[in-house]
Amino acid sequence: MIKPHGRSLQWVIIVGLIGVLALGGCSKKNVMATSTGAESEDASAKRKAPGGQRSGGPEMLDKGPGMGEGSLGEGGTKGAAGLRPDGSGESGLSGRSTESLGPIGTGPLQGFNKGSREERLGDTPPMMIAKAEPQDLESRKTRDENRRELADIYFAFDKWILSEEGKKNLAESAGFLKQNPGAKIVIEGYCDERGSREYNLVLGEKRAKETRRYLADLGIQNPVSVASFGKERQVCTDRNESCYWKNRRAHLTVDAGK
Amino acid sequence: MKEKSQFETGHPAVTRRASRRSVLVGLALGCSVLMGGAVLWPSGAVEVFIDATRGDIKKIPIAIFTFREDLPWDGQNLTDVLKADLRRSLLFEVGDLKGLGIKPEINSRPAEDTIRRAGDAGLLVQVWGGFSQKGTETLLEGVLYDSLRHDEVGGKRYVGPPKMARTMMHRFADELVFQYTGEQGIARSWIAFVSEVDSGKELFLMDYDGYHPRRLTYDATLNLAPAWSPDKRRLAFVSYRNGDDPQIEELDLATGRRRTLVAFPGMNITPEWSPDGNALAFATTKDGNSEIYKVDKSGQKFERLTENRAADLAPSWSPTGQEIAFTSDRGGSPQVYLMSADGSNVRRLTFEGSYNTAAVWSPKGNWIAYVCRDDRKLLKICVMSPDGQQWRRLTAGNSNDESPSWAADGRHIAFSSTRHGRRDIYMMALDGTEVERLTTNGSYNDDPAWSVP
Repeated sequence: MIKPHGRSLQWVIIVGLIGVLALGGCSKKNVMATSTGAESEDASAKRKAPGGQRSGGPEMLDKGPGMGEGSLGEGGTKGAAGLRPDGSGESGLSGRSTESLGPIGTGPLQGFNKGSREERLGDTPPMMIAKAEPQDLESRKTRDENRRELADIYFAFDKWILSEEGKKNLAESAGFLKQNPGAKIVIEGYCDERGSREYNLVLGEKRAKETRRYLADLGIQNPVSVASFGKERQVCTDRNESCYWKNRRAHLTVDAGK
Repeated sequence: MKEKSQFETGHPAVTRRASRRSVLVGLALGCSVLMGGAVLWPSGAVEVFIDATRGDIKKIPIAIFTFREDLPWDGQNLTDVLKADLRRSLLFEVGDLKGLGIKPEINSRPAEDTIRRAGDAGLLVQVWGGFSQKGTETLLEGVLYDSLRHDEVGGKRYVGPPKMARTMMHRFADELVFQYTGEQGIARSWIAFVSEVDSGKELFLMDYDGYHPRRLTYDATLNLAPAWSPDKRRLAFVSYRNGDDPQIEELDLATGRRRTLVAFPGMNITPEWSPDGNALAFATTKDGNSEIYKVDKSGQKFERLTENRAADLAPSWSPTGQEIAFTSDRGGSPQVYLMSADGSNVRRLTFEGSYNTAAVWSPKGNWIAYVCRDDRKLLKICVMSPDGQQWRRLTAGNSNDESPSWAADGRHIAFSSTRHGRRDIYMMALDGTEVERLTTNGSYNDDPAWSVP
């Protein structure tokens, strides 16, 4: 039906042999034959379907008790009816071996076959979870606590050039900076939500760098670094201009420790 | 005969590739005649065999008998998973058995007479199966019947942990798609995305239908822009965990191992793997303004692709790896440009409107989706053919829609939208229909990245 490539056929055979060896007697069982009909109708044994929830929090891994082998026979009463028309139990689907689909369950499709192998689906990732180093979080927090804020500078929609008001505010901040020439300045650029995420990262950086350039024009010689958060950290999220303008800003902080 | 008219389609596409092509080509050609000039949608220039998104195309009628669920869980209605998968494939039409007087709930395989009756009504492809317990594991057995032969074509058996039941059904759906079209299907694919947790943005992963969300990072900072490796094993993404300069990192999903790929001073953003997985294109502002680079797999060999005083960012590879679409504001406002993968032969693609960004090249090559702005300055999803000849806006309304990402079938796009208040992730077909909301967790969800199957 579907012709596997030579290599994948080899692979299938190898995995199949391993499967036969590993599962031993299991592969000889007729999985259609037994019945647990009475048990599976026991409402008290039923529980919530695992992973049946759509994109909420992390899923609950609610594992039920093993119920033995199931049956596709008629209501579990006629034994080996299974998926075969004659009820012989000689299902073309009886597992002769198990095909592993790999650590993340992504083996190639195998096609429909009579007497096809059983395919084993492993767990889905992530197998492990990557956590940030605790010192990362701690140092960020300490740094943020030592900052002193200067007046925000606001920008027009889609623009990164400074307004006259923005220049005026920077001139006022310049007085403080000249008195504290060693204070390290961080300028963060932000945007409103009406630009796309990735372009807003660039636009925010342009706003921050334009602000830095103007401070230099004012004769500020403090060390300055720039950053951009695009529209990732909004000061308000209403969808009107009275909110949008507050997000189109350059936010200046200095290290108050110096 | 009333039943017959419902699925009067003649012979469905059969299993071999060649006939699949000719059937679908025939369908698409018939379809384009029907479409006439009424819609902007192109009919001639497109590779016809994949363009099965229109409502009037003849889909393959299929009968699905309700799968038995002999499981210790309350009914999961796993048959609905299969039906939804086949509906989303845009290749099958699930027939109404009840409407034909056939009971979909059966305890043993459908009788020959039932198969024949459904077949006479046009439902030549028929499927039944069931879930049961095998030890502590769950077993899915599914069988495919062909009403021409009144017998089974073959079957599938899947075994795995109980929580994999939906995954087994997705795999079964993709086998059906493969059987009748030779395509891989998308039901096994995943969508990586970004979700707000406390004040941070963390990476998550979910099945393509929005189920099985699982969290990948616990950084309490900003993680953005996940990008799949072509083998579905690793995600590149942008992380702010080392301070104000975002860097590009990589997460291996099987091992949880994490490494830094690009950490130049300045911003390092918008990663995207080449189709062969041998290079990562990205943008960095290390040179003062944003420029596009690529780096080889080892993370050692960098090559600069753009050199321009304006911002160049958001590269997206063509499926051949020969070309790259990207965003540049060199013309005064952000627009989509194309270049060869070595940075030569730059030309502007978009001219409609003053704001076009975030281009993503369809895995089939025939479309580029991007973020456009409508006349109310709202962000929408547009598509354009790489030759610039065909254009269409896919979304409308009061929302901001962005971050388009293609499914591997080239017929679906995931995107984020504010149409229900907070930003959530949605999918739609390539013609803007079949919109489906995928996240409903009450948080802020964005940046979908759709994996291969």
